[in-house]
Amino acid sequence: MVDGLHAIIITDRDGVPVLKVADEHLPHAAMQPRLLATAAMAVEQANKLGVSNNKNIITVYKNHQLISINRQPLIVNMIANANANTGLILSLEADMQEPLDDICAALELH
Amino acid sequence: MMEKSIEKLMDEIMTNPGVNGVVCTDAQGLVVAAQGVGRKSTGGQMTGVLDLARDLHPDVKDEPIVCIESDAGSLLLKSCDGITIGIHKTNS
Repeated sequence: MVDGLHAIIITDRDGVPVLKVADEHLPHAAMQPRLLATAAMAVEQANKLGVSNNKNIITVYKNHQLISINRQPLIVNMIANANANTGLILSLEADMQEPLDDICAALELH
Repeated sequence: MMEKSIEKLMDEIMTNPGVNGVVCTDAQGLVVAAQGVGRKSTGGQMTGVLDLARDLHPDVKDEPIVCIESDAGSLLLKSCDGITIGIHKTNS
């Protein structure tokens, strides 16, 4: 539990949601497919910068922040208040290893 | 520039007896610098603990100092001007 964290959206590499959990404070724009698709594209482009694979992208806006964690073939997007504890949100990835492995395994079956 | 002065300060802290690690984070819990056993992945937890400590006494304006003790040693946490510093100490 992290104060100010509104949503965790797991997408595939194209930004198609696989799993989503959100509270009622999630900004409307975050529900738009283009946000997730653009975040996925940003991760893909960041992989090509020649400084090894991208681990995560933190994008801070006026009121919110979007944290995209690259966990190929999945991308974990977290949307939180701009002043939420970014470090704590990033550390959530370690707790999510097992479910993420399960989702990856399920995707590989199809 | 800021990182340089922080690293200099951390070098100084590391020379104190019993100190085996220092971690420095910004207000968002992102690690600015770490030395010794101080792990870069713990920055968020450190600021999170201090936020909770602050909530315990909302009327007190002074920044709290948190000491987490364990068999392996202790971790001292303090925040000042948006910068949080964690000092790992051995029990000896």
